[in-house]
Amino acid sequence: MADLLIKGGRVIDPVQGLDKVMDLRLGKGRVVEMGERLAAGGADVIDAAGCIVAPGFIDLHAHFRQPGHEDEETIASGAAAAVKGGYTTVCVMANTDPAIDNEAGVEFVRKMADAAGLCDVLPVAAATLGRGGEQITEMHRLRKHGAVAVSDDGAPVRNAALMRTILSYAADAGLPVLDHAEDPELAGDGIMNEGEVSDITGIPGVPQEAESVMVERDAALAGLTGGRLHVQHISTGASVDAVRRARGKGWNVTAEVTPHHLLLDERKLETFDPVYKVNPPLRPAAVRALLLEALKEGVISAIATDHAPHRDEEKELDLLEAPNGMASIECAFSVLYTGLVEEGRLGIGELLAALTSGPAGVLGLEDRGSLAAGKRGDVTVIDPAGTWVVGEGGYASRSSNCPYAGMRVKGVVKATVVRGRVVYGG
Amino acid sequence: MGKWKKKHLIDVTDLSEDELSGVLDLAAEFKEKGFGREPLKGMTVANMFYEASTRTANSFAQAARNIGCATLNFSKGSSSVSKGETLGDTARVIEAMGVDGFVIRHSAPGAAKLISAIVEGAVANGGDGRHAHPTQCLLDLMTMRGNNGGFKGLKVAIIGDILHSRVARSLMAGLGKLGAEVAVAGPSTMMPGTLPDGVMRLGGIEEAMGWAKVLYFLRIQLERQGRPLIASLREYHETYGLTAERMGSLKREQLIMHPGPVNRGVELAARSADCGAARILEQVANGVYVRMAVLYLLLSAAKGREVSIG
Ligand SMILES: [Zn+2]
Repeated sequence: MADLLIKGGRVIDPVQGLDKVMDLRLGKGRVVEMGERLAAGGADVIDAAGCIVAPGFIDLHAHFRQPGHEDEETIASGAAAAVKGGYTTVCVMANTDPAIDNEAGVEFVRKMADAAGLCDVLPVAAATLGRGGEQITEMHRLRKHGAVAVSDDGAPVRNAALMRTILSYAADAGLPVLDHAEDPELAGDGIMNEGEVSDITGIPGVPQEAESVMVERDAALAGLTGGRLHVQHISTGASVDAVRRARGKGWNVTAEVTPHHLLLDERKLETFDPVYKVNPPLRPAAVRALLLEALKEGVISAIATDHAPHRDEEKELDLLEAPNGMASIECAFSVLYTGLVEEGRLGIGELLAALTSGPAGVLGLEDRGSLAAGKRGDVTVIDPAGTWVVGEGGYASRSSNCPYAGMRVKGVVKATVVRGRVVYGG
Repeated sequence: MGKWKKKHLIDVTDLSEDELSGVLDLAAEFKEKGFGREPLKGMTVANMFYEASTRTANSFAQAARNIGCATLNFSKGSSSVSKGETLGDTARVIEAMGVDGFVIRHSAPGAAKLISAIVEGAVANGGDGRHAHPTQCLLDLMTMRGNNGGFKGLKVAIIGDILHSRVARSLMAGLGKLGAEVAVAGPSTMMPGTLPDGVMRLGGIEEAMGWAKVLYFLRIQLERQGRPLIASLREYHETYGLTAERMGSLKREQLIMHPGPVNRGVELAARSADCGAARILEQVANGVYVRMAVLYLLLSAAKGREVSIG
């Protein structure tokens, strides 16, 4: 395979503190060098003039639905959506049917990802068999076969003693525990944030404490066990406080936030449109601002999409029956760039860190998340001035339950490069 | 004087003050003079009841017949409301049978709105989850107006489970719109965190009885006991119910209202539902007139026929 020369782009690498117009050369699947006016030699060339050249995006949280719900997404269609969104690495959750809870499942995900040949798809295995919350999985084996973390995402670990065991055992196996923090009794039958809007609409509410009491519990258990805890889709101020306190004590606790918890708020539910139904639910605007602050502060170190595709006809289900989740992986960068960077609320370097080095750090993926020489040749090229309309011309995903559909956004992914090979655009 | 233009009624919040008064006036006309207008012959109203409610379903059916419409009834468990079909699919199928108007009762908030976005015909919300119950609100307003003359200075206390009640939500909105004073009382476990602007929370039933002209008791959902919010029905009756003793201390001008069906001995003492202050049967009677007015206005608008209101 020929080398790839990405010419004349604004190279931003938060890890190296780099933001400069330069050329970047990739070869043998790795970053070779960067510098001004590099000779093309026999390399293929991408003209990146006017574009941002960043490390490939890493998504810590996506649902590609395979096996079991191929009508909603497959690993191939999910990967196609991911590279369209500039992602070069995606971690997929285990809440498939059957759940990914043994080495065959992990191997299956990797095989499907290889066959798709687009981005790196890293399996997150279930923490308990069948995500049933009873028997822990064979985490040593799972890791050997390619799992990068364990999580029962979608289902909280209700039993505190079991969570203690999971954290302890996963630490032995060298795996982080990704935590869907939710107290199911406190959440009850709620489907939106409990507050002013739920009071007016009568839509059953979930108090913010349904999340934060579990984050408090699990942070304490991370302290007890020395385990590696990563809080998924963090969505409340009290949860952020708990993570900040735990980190202050030197415990191994990190957190991710979703684009929708940064960009959308509970008022969207005034429409009763199930596209805004998501768990954890959209919060008040003030909480949205708190989460952004926590991201800038570093208490939250990654933005993860929680890409959750659902069949189109599910939009016509009533609000109680409609499933939770939003499909957003192909527009995540653009909506974040438009809503945060263009608005002056977040620096482009901060956004890129949350999409690259931040998530790499959460999983300890040392071979990516930066453009330093020797790292994987995973690169995303973005035209920051380009605009497009989300959903216009269809989705690469098999589903279209996207809350940003119809929005004109800025920031077009011009090329996605995985291991030195252009897998999207060019 | 204006023209009625809406073909859907999802909540009373969608109606202007004039439209609200217009519906009440039309309902009052039907009550006093009977339905003296040209019947909506050849039109069909579908009653889609996903939640059991014989009372509301029958009231709508009676109202539809009174204005000249045929009715089709679909209830949960009947073959037409089948599993695996989305709400949207079901509505389309029913519309294809030649239906002009839909009444929908459903446990999901937003269900009526969802259907109104799909069908061509008129849609009346017969109660959607905890969200809204506009025709109940209208019949309550009609009853209050009939007994009080108007809403200026009228004090209404709503007592019971405010948090889970669509009746309370719509009534607070409707009364607020017409200028009445509204307060609520009930256990804290059944109170929303925020009340609509202008609605105050009273300390308890004694305060409500001292303050309000209309005491509106909400039905306690016995079936909600899976997630208990009160210790027992007897304690609820003692704390928030109209006990025999409290009934004795009612002032002459005070009225008792209840959306029904009454749990005797819970919200109201066994005999109090039949006492002189109670307007519960009047509410039921007014329900038919209000629903006649609503269906008449919505169906006329859906067919492009102009009806003057006000
Ligand atoms: Zn989750």
